Amino acid sequence: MIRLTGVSYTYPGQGQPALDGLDLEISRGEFLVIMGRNGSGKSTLARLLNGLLTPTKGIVTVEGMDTARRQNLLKIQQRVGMVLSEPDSQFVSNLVEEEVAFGPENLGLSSNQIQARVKEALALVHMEDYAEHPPFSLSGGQKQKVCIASLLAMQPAYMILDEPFSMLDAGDRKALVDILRHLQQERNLTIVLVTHEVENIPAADNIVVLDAGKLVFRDQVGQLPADEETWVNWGLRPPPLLGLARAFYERTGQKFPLHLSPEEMASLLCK
Amino acid sequence: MQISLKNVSFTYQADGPFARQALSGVSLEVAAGQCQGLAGPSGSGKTTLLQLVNGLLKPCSGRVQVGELEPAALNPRQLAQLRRRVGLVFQQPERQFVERLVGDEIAFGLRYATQVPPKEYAPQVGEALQAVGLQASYANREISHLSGGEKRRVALAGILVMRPEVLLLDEPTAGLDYPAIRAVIATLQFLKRQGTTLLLASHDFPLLFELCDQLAVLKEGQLVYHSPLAELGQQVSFLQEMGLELPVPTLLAASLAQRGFTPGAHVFTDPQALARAIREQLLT
Amino acid sequence: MWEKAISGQYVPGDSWLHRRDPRSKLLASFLLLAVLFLAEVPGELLICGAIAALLWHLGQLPLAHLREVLRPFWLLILLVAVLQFWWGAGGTTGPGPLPFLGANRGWEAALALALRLILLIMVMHLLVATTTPLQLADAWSWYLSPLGKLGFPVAELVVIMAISLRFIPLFLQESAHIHKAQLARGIDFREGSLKQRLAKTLGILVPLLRNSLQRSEELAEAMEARAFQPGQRRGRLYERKTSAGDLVFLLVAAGLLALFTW
Repeated sequence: MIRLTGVSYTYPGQGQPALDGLDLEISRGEFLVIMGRNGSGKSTLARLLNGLLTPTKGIVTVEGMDTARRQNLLKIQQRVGMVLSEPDSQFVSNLVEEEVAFGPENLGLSSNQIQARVKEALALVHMEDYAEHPPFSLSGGQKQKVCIASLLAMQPAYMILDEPFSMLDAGDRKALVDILRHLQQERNLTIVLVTHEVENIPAADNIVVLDAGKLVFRDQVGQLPADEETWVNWGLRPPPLLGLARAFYERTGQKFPLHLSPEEMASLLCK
Repeated sequence: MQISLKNVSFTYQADGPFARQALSGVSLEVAAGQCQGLAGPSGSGKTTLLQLVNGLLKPCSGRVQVGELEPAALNPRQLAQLRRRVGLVFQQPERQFVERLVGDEIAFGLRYATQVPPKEYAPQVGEALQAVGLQASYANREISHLSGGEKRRVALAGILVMRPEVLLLDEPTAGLDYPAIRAVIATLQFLKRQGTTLLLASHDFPLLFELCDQLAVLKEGQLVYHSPLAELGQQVSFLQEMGLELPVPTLLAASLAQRGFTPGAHVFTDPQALARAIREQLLT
Repeated sequence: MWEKAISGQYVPGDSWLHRRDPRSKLLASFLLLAVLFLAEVPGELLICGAIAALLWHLGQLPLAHLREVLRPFWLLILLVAVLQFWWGAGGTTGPGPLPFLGANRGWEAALALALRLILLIMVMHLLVATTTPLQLADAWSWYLSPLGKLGFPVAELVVIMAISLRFIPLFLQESAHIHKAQLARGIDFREGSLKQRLAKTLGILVPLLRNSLQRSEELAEAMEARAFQPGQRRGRLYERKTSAGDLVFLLVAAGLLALFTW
């Protein structure tokens, strides 16, 4: 579990805190989506979860380890992996295989262990055939897969992804979300997806919404507000069928199941 | 100005062993003042097509025309002149910023690509800022202090200040959050009202549905679909077979249509209209 | 086999050369470079040519790659050869007007120099094409490790070197992209006074620099997130193992060097 207690963070030289008095718990094995407009503090929160930033107030613990203590850092960074939005800015190598090996090398593992992990990680993202390609020649979706594999090779328990799909098209996004869900289910990996794109909501178990550095929502997907005004106030695109969901609720008193496929929704509505 | 592509093909590095065909046999007509949407997955050739229209690339075969001109037949000076009338906004245009202050950045094109005298810069920069929904006082602000959405709009203003008759946009909303997207949409709607011809390449369907009159779809360099947006509803299954990820409301409208629910063409591209129609006709 | 054989790019494979210990390849390459410039015309130089061809074959690199690899350098080679032809000083010994131009002028000297340059490019490409960036970095760090014992941050230097190299294609891509973007604004780089043209060039350099700085910050973050810490003991993807083939390779290179200096 990652736990934040009374966490605030103010960037050096700024007057206002980017995050203000946050209390949050992230459990093992959950798929959490953290939403908010640009500037709401999402990226700051992401970087607090793996110790890249340490809180100016309050405390962040990863499985009991305080992120502010230097001696915990290596262990925390192994447990909590992070993928950023620009793959080109994360690559250290000109060969996919060596890129993925970078993390395990930092952990001081043996050659055999590193090679085994690289192979396994690439297989998990279906990129085994690209082991000897240079990352810069890959497509956007493939690059992100390599970034994910680079983290998987460290065998983390938690994976934080900060706007990983912002430059990708819907097809790539879907493929990557499927991989993440699979990892969550097969390996009990905790996925924390930081994004402002509401299309990612159906994949999640729980949602957190940040607004101006404060936590304004923390609950299951099914409990998300059904009125558009709240979404617009949060600076988020109201999910596409929200109006429909509200009308359905008003008419039938039941929540409209937004996670169904369009076919299933259509047959439900026609009854 | 209208845009015309006739049987255009383009191959990158055509004379080497690493040739890659980006477009083959593409024909497209965009009437003046229209907003043409161009959809397709990454790598389908959208960026290549845009760069052919403003002459950054020359077609390997076929003909590209903008208005009366053929970009491939122009010399560099004429091309530079053409590009003041045919603006191209690249993906993530904020990565090309040169100046420190907003006003200087917007005036960069005026300074180096036109004969406009320096005393004219301020009013024209002001107009460009207004077109993108930013106040004139932004001209004195530092670019590094702006949010992502504001930067994107400043980049857009830098192109609009040249008063192009045609605007080509490559993924104008990629990486922006919702409020910033709405601001960009407002700008594009403003340009539409002014009669600017727009060619919008994007994988953001809600954007295309809101703005475009016509929709074209590229797949692996070929044009597989080209119709007025109003006819989208009849082609949903075809587009799905092409591998296109259409938004859920569109797919829902199509599933409902198969069950005989056909309130009108607009429900395929307008989720609000769909919700209204369902509420009024199915849920009563 | 994937296609992008640009000059200086690793080409995946499992040839005899690929399997050599990177440390011996590195050393042998330098020995061969020395050999190249000590070889006298015509016989010794032709032997070098034969060795380079043999190595190309041993690396299982297709001949078509040779043309692509040399493509960016033809102009330079031509230029230097012409200089040699016209300005190599007369006489058979003694330095010419420029240190690298040697002593003779005329066809023979120009051709010899051109051949030397071509072979140099071939040898360097052979090294880089059959050795992955990490292997090369590892070989360097092995050779520099005595410096490490003196407190020199060898491992960090090697990482920095490897990363800088890996950014070169990105830099080229990005400057081409920015150039296009400024062209798209109607900027004509060739027009205007010198001052104006310089200002326009800044239109490419400034964004390039800024983006690079931003990237390096993001990269530092990404590396830290992957548990990279300067001064740590890092593992290695590849094991270091030398075999008989390496010894043979080195002996041949050293032998040639001895032979030609004699």
